[in-house]
Amino acid sequence: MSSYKHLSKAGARFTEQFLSKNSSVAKQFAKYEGLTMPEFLKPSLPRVEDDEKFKSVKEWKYMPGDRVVIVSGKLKGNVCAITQHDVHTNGYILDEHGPTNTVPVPKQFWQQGQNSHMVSFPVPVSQKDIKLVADLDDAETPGLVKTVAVRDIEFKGSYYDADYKKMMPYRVVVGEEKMVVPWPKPEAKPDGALATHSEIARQQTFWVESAVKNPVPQAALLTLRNPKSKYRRGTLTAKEISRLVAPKMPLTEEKKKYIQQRKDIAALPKRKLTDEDKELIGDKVYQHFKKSFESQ
Amino acid sequence: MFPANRGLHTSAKALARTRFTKPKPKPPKRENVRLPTQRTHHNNDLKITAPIPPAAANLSCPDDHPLWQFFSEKKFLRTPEELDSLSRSWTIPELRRKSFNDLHSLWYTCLKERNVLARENHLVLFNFQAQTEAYENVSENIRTTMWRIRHVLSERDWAFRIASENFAKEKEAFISSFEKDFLEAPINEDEEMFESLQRFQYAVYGISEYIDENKVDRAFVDGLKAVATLKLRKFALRNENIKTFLEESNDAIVDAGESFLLYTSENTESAVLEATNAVRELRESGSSVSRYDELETVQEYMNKLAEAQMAKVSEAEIQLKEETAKNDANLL
Repeated sequence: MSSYKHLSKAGARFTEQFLSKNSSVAKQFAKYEGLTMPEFLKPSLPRVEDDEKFKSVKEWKYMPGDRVVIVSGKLKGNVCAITQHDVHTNGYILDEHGPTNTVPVPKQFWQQGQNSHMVSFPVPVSQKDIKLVADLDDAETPGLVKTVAVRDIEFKGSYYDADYKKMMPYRVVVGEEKMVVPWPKPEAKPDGALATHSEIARQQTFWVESAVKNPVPQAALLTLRNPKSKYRRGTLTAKEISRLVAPKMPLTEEKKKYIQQRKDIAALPKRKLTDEDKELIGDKVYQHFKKSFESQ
Repeated sequence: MFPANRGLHTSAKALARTRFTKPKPKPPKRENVRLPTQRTHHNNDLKITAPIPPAAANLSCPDDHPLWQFFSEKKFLRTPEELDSLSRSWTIPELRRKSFNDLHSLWYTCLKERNVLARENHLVLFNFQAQTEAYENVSENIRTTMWRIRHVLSERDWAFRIASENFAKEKEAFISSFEKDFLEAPINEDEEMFESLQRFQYAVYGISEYIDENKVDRAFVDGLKAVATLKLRKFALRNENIKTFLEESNDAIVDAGESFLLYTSENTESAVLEATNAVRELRESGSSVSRYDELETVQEYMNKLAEAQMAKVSEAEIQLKEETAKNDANLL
């Protein structure tokens, strides 16, 4: 295996189409995957395509740290906490009260301290199989909270969440705008090595100072955009036109004959009405009318 | 039998004696014999030593080796957990606030980090046959920052072009309103007004206060003349001599040499008066700069000014050194 696909995006679109969900290759692969994959490697939820993967919190609805209740399957009714999102399957991995799968693992994959072939793995659960559990103020006994399973949630407005360090929507019980279910507090993590301090990031160093001097040096412009780009050119080359225009359909034999016939007819000399012809016609008409008047 | 004295015409030549029949005498012994050029490490000099085992400890690499730039903190390979998967890309609004130099250095920081990641990704993919998703994701985030930098700079360039086109229509009105404010300001606001003049000349004519940043072109020379005239008009309100000088020159300075002299004079009444006297002398001696040679001449003046400034700076440095040496000596 030696290719440089991981360094360049050239040809990536072809590979993407080749391996996309509806391609025959992908279907065949999926067919044999289930048969040939060992039990301990089999995913319990189907993998999702890149464009179907959840990206925003609005899609995920529940974040790690949320308590949820399982509403279907063997473990129906269990209240568990979400420990992790499974980004490959759009699933939620739950704590020890959630579903697990005990499968044999070959010895070469054993972890340190393992002493049995059988290992329990947490199984990701899909969004439709869980409901959020929330502590809400009890309307009947004020001052007390009751723990309920929320049928569904919706999103209203947004605010800056200092824990998540981004704008988050307010999560409310569907149909009950005042019942806000706060987001769980995420595990505090130190800033990454590549992160820039917010003060430095916000500091303004660019000011518009001159109407004569370009703020971007001339030498940098060629690396910013291609002045000969086909999108900037405004005209199409012959090659591009040939690619855009469909080729002409070849003519059938009958069509060719018909066209030749039309040409031959067109090439014939045009007939002109001579005085003799006109007299002949006039005479015929005269005879016809004469006959019809006489019969009356 | 044929007698032996008969032969072919070539026989005599073939039978002729061409070699010595007795050994050649030895050449005389040479006195100046050159010694061999290589006199060490001949076979008989070499000694057999114990073999050196190939080990990492036997290899040394300088700390400033340029290929270290392809490694993160001199690590062979970072684990996916060590990568920074939490940080996000810079957004376009954030990048819009940053100067060209900041964006330029950020670009190269990104490029270097992507080089490190590409090396690690390659290693993981081909040598360990493992998942490279973590490396690719970080690299993709950095790539996003990089295209955004290019986007922001391109946008800035378009904005500049469109703005300078539109400004051409409003330039006259803008200049006259500034002149009005500048001339009408009272004497106690002089410092502020000359600071705003500096910003004005950079904004409208591209004359920077830093000499080496300037490029002498038509706009620059026109700016010099305009600023010199403005300066004269400012001080003509306070000084009769300057006023008469301005009237003599028909209320405008049109010579590049004169304008340079007035422009470089300090922003005080006495300095400007001195400059006007110098210009008068120039006029009396009949030296003036032709409009066709203006750009070259002003460039020469600028070079001289830069040289003078450099000399001043180095002189000051020498003085500072001497003083510190003196102080040190006193302390001792």
